[in-house]
Amino acid sequence: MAYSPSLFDVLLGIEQAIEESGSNIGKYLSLKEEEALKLMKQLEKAEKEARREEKDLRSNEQYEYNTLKKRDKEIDKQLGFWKHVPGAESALKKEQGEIQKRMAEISSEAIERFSENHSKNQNYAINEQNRLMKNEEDTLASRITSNDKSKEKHKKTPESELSDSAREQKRLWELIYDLPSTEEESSNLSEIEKEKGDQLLSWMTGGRGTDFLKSIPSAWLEAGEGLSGLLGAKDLKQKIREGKQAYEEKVGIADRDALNAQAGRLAGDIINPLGLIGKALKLPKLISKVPSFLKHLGSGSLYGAIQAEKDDEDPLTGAAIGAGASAILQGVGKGLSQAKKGKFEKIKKGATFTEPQEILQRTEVMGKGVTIPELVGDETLINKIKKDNSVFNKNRMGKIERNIKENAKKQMGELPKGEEELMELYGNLKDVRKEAGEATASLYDVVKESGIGSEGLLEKPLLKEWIQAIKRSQGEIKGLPKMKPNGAHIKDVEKLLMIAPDDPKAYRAFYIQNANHLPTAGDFLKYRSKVKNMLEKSGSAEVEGLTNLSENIERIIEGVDTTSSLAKANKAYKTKIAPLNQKDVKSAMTAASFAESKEGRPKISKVFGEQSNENNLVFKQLPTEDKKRVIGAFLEENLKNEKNPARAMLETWKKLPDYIKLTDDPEIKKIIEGMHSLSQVNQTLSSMQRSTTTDIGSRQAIDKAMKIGKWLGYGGSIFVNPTLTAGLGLVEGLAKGGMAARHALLRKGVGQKQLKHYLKPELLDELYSRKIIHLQKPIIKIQEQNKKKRGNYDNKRYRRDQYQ
Amino acid sequence: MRRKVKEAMNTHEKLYPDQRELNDLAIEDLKSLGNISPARPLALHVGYVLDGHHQNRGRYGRNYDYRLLAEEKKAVDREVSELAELALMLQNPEYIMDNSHQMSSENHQLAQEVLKHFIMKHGPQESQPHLEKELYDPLITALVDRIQDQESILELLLAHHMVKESEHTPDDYSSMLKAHFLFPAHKGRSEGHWGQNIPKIFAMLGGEGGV
Repeated sequence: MAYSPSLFDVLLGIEQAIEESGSNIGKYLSLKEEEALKLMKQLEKAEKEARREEKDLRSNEQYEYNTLKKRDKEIDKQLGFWKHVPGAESALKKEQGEIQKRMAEISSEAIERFSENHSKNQNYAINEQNRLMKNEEDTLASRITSNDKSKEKHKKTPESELSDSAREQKRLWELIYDLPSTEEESSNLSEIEKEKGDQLLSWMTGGRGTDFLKSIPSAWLEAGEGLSGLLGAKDLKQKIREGKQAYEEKVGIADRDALNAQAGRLAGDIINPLGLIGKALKLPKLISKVPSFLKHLGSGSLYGAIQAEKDDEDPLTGAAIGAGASAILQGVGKGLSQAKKGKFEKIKKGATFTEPQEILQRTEVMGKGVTIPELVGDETLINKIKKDNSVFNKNRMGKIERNIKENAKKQMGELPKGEEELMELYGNLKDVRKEAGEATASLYDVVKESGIGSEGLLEKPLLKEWIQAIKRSQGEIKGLPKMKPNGAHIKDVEKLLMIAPDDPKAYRAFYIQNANHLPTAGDFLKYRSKVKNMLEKSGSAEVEGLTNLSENIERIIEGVDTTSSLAKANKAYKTKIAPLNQKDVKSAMTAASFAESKEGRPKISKVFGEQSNENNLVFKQLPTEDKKRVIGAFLEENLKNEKNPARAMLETWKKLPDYIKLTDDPEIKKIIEGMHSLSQVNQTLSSMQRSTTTDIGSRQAIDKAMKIGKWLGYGGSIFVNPTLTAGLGLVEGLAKGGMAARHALLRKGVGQKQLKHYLKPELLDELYSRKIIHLQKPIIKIQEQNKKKRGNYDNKRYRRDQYQ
Repeated sequence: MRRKVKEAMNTHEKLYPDQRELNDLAIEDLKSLGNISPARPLALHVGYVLDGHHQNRGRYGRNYDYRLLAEEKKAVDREVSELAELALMLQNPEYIMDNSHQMSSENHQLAQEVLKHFIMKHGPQESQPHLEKELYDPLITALVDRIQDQESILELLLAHHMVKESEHTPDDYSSMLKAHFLFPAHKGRSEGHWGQNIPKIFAMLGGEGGV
């Protein structure tokens, strides 16, 4: 039962070969490799010995040659000197002639010996390879004969033995598959057309032909219009002729390329399943075969070489040719220089995907310099990039930087800048100061009401008594609290009291100016409570001192006011003074006044640059627009020194005090987070730009970008950097989606409908009932089973639903 | 081992300096040992046919398995093998009866059983229309259905990637690829193998009246 092997035989043959060879390939290969290694060692040893002998010989010759050459040069020099001496010149010339003759002899001997050794070595190597090849051929032949007699079916039937139909079949196949290249073939073709044309057309127009015709894609075989061209044509002959002409024009039949092309196709057809078995099993054989195969190729055209080998019925030769032909089909004939050329262009070319819109979106979002791995996560391209990172990274760096700049500019647009804008802030700031001033005044009123001090201040005598009381107990008690929680020690207060004026109005002005260091009524009351706490917790050694101090403080209070007024003062401190924090407000106002007097308008960064509660308080009281102006003022100052918007934004963010960075105002919070994210992205991308070949192409960069995307919260807080965030999310989504689609595709591939789905269930059941089919269950039965299962499931679910 | 081969090849290259490409080709082939794929020769060959010549070996060699995962490569191989088998069965019923392929698939076994069933039941002459209806039609429908699937493995995994760096479109490539599966079916039909070879099979099965 013979049929002509086609390309599909090859495909199935390969699959079979892979299965058959299995694990034995590895063992066999290792055995053969050992054998080859032994041979190699022998060869190397022989070569080494030969080289040593040659070296000795060469050194003697070289010595003689050098001596002669030296003498030759001496004679050249002496000739001039001896030319007037009769006989001397001729004697020297004679000697020189002999020397030169001997030198020439040595040279020719060396060359001859070299070439002799060379060919000897080559012959030795070729003989050894042939011997090895023959051994392997015998082994394989015996294996093949014993293992699979059915392989004989694949032997090529000679042309003369073919039946008429087979011959016609062959011709038609060549007609469609390999368009004829000679006139003789073309004339034969016409006859076949006549005979087969009607058959084709009748089949096409009736029965399955129509459906089959529909299934044939229209775009294939452009050169010859191929099968669809043939089937769809009314004039079959004309169509074939046109196809032939198109093919000839495209390829150019006469030139060598066309011959090679023809040979290549032929190789594809004649490739034998044994080919790849041979390839897999016979590495040493292949090695030894390659030079001889190439020799064939060298002696003639590729077609000739393959044809010559094809005629050889030896299965081993078939195996070798199978390997050779598969090499041709594998298309690995790329030169090294070719591989190096335009590597970058290839990478870029690889990036032009078929979904340009999608890629465009991604590149727009991530910057045109985004890497291909960042877009598609492709490992092959990663490897390519690893090989050449110079140009690619340089471009990428520039483009990413530009992208960041654009984002920074967008963010800058949200911040007010310029003289007029900032003057508005100044005006609002004055209002804030007014509010703060009113609050301060109310504080004084409270203090006044409490009666602790004249016009709300702690008077000089009270402060002096307080200091004296502390001094008396200071020696006995360790760790006494400060008079003013934020700083002032006894010495500081004492110094101020020394220079404090006695006049009440002047004292008041002095008191306000030095409010940072002079304790208030609240401070006094705090001090009192702290001492009481210490007394309760202290050890026996300090009890006496603390008791005395506490008593003295109580005496001071008794001396100035009643408990009711003290309670009032205490309450006023808790509700009004403490939250307002008199010191901070006053300090801010002082700083603002200072800036105003010196530069004409307040230097915002100076007023708000300090990290303090006073500034926090004032900033909190500002409306959102003014808060933006504050940040804008910081940015403007940075823009004076830094023109790159991204860097200016980064520097601004760095200089902003913490109370602004941690503000609760949602609008300002967005701006701050945007600036922060910009700095983060900038930093990360910079590190990616700087990254070396090892991590530029790796997944780390992508993962990092993804993490940033997540950090930015592209799920919710797009505001931070909408474009970048969306881009990162998109890439991740696409990556996930792409993988899911691939998995779905693979699952689908596994579950492809097989032949049994197209056979009639009745037929399958009949086969099953007669036990013809042992492996498969009948379709109807399976369907029933499935239905039954589904029914049960539905019932269960129904019952469960009812129960619930 | 490779070093030795390279030495041998270098010697050969000195003798035939114009064969450097073939030299590289042979070495690359050795390097690719162990990555044998049944789909590979067909995939590359289709590219060559589209080009009209075999000169762009490097292009298709590089693009084959361009970005496929290991399991995807297996899926491609499996798909190509199954389609090739269907095509061969359509080309000639002799293939259906041929058991020399030890990797005989479920489809192959089933087709063989059906073929035997009808030939033995109706004889060589009368079984022809039955086989046409009960086996040939299902076979060709199975093949065409799978080929026509726009989301098939061939379409999405193989054709799509093979045309990178070439002037061809994925559609052209996939059409050409699919056409190669239709060739054998067309060949078998146009040459009447199903009519001619049934008596042979009948004779082989031990029936009378065979050729």
